[in-house]
Amino acid sequence: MAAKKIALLYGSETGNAHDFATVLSHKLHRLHFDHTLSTLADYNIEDIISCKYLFIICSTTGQGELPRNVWERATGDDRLNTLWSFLKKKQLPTNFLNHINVGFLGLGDFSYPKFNYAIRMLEERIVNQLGANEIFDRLEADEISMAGSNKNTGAGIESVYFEFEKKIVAYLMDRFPNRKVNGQIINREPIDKELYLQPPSFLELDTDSKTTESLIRSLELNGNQDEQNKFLHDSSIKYANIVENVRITSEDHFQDIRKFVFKGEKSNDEYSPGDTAAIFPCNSDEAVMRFLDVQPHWKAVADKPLKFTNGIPKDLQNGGVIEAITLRNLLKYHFDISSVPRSSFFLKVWMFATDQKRLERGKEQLDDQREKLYQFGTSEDMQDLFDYCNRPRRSILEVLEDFLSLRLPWEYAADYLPIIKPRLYSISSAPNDPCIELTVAIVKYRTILRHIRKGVCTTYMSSLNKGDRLRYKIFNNNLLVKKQKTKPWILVSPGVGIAPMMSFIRSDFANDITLYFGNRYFHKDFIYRDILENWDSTGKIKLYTCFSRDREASPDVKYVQDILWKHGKELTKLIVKQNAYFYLCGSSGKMPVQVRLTFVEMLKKWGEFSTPTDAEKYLSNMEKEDRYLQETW
Amino acid sequence: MKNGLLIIHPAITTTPEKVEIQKNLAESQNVNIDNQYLITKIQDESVSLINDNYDVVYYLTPEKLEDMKFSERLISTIGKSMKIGGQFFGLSDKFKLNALLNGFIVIPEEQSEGLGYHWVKKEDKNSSQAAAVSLAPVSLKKKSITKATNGKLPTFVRKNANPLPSFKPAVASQAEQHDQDIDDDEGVDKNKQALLASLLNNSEQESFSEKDLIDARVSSAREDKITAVECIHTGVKRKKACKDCSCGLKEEEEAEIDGVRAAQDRVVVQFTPAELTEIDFTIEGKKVGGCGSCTLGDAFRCDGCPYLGLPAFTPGQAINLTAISDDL
Repeated sequence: MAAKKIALLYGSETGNAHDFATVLSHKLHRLHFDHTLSTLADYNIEDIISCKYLFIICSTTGQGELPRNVWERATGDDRLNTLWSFLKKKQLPTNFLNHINVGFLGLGDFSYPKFNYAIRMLEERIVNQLGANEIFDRLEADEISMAGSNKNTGAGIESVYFEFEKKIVAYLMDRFPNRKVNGQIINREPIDKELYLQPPSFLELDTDSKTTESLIRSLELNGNQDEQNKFLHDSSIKYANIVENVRITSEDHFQDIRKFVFKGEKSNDEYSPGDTAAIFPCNSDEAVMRFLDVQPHWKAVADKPLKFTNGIPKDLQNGGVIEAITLRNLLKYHFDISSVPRSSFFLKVWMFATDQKRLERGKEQLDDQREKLYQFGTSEDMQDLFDYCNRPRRSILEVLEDFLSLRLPWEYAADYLPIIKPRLYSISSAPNDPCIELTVAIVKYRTILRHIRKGVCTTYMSSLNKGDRLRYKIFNNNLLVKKQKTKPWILVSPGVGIAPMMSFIRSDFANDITLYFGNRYFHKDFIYRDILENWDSTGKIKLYTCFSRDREASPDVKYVQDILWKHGKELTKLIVKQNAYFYLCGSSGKMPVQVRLTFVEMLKKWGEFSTPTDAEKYLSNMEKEDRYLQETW
Repeated sequence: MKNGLLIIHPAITTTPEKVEIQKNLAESQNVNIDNQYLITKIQDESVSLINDNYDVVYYLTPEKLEDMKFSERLISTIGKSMKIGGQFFGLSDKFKLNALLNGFIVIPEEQSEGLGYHWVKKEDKNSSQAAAVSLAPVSLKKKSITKATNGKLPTFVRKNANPLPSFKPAVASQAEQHDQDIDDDEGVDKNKQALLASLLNNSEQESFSEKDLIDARVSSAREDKITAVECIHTGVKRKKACKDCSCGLKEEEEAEIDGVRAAQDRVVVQFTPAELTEIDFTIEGKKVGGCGSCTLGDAFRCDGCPYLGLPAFTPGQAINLTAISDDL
């Protein structure tokens, strides 16, 4: 098939950019504009030569970085060989992309200093260095505080997105107001909004007898079905068995933190401090049953073998696809029915609000539900959607239970239901230890919804017992590859930020380590206390702790930055005179900001710099040279 | 000195000498280049042209005449910015119909008194409607245009300034220009293909790092070029509190949740853990609020509804929610 002239590529970490890309793709399809919709990493590199119109939506993540699905493919081998890695090659001439017209939309968080760095890096290379023609000046939105959106005028992220959409549609419609059908030129009219846009590949019954036989065989097998289930189409997926899963905070503490240990079936994982394990969760059987109860017409087909009409969709392949494809299995292992639906979900399914039978007030209620769903999917304001779904963290399952008029066609489920994503956790075990250890806080919180909110992955993990099987991958982040082992290291980690620090200390990479560890209560969440105090007494590390809600255990310091300040003079000397390394790990938000501020003040006070600006420059340099490392989530 | 406008195609920047040549030529014709813009900037309206302003307009593009792309809207925009009698150099007979429809007359090479092929603005666009109608059918590559317009003569509709064009029956001028569909095969640059192939399989090259790109950007100070959105929606949005909220919003949210749960407690009947197998709670009788929408689910409930946070229901019906074993 010839490569498409229009490419809509996205880089997404939390799903926002993905959702906007899906909405734009939907719009382009309605106007008969054939195009490729893909992550930047999964785009076929050779296709860039045939591409004429390129639209990129990209978030900024971490410390001003590109999301993983920009530079790494989700599945297969050779995952780092992507379009972006290709475009960065120095040998490319400055007019290499001058055949392309491009438009950019960046999503970021204005509270970070490196606001929207990702989209700016892409623009720099693609436009300024490789000659692509920018159709309009890039758009930047602020996902969180809105202050930084829209040249700092504070427009909501959706306003910026819809401006992006308008510009692109106007541009394409101006160039191609007509289209060819069977050799004839006709006006380009949009497809009726009541019509569902059939995806290129969707589900159908698999009547092949071989498939049915193997499915019957797998269902008949005794014991834990998970043991037998195989996942195909992702050669990089791995399997492991649980070794240990214990709570390490006290029972009366509000937070449940687990020491979670698993052993890979192949036991050959290579990893270093700073590396992460991706865990691929699944839904509970109860959740699956609930879904089938609210879409009862699926029940008759729930365990029948299915196949895709045109190949397994790309989105589904990360982590492998369950070998026995049935609706029940898809609901359990792949469809993220516990996630909060986004506007693209409503955009795709509103027209299936057709069933009056379960509604108390008949046709009137049906019309109201239909209209409400349509609004959720198309309103440029998105405020109602935010109030109904995002704020209370309402799940797709709960939305379906509220909107009983929805009668969803199972054939297209892989198109309108989001796919479960893996979650990443920093590894705590010593490098290359076949028993991989994670330190995981189970996510549980309240909203106005009666049922307590739970994290999909942590709930899955907390339910696993010794011997149970899970799917995982290891991501090597190359934190320490070039670092000096002989330098002193200052480690700062509140709470579960301790995870990679444990690996670091166990690695014996450095021998001059000072660890600043902050928690809330000495007797409730001082996790790994025995190990850490032991390391402190043997001189392996110097340990300093503080407890923010425990005035008895730490009377004069509350947070880690307080102890840093307390030791300001000595620490600054270590940093400036001995070129010490600084590694901060923990929750994102104010903590890293406070720590960095404290650090700057320390340098100013004790660093013996000529001016305060010099002190700030010194820290900037440290960050550039990877001497000030930060990992927050 | 005459007022001049120089419009350039972005790809011209690879051959800057052409711009120089054009400028020298302008001087020799006693034209002062008042403004120089990229065609894209005019196209997306980031620059606007003053009406009735220019004596001469030059358009520079590296495209071959037969391959040139130029939208009808642009011709209209440029036409408006020109004085009557103004000259427009740079397009070709490919756009002749648009020229005529927008108040230009076409001066072929042999009649140009040495200036070369160009257009001259004769009159304001509005008065050219009669001309448009009479020009309509005859000399065009028609294909199925008459079918699309139901046999009527196409009326010239002035394209409005909104970004989204309105869809009137196909105007003939557009058909002439846009007889191509986006998916028509235009061929690809074979040289680029070859270069890509050779670089792709050679992993031994140097690449720029992300740091290099940021440095390049910072040193060239290109940050200010962002599109500003004209905000239609005003009003403050309610946001979620941050994880480590220190402004008090988190406490407000917690208080709100407590309030909602307390209201729910008043309307639901709770079962003890011993009784609790599948049913979480049931809603008694017809305890409904004033608006009458309580049963319809949160999407339709008002702010003060006692049932906020509960699923949609039928009064008196036990809510059959499968309780997750380690809930609450």
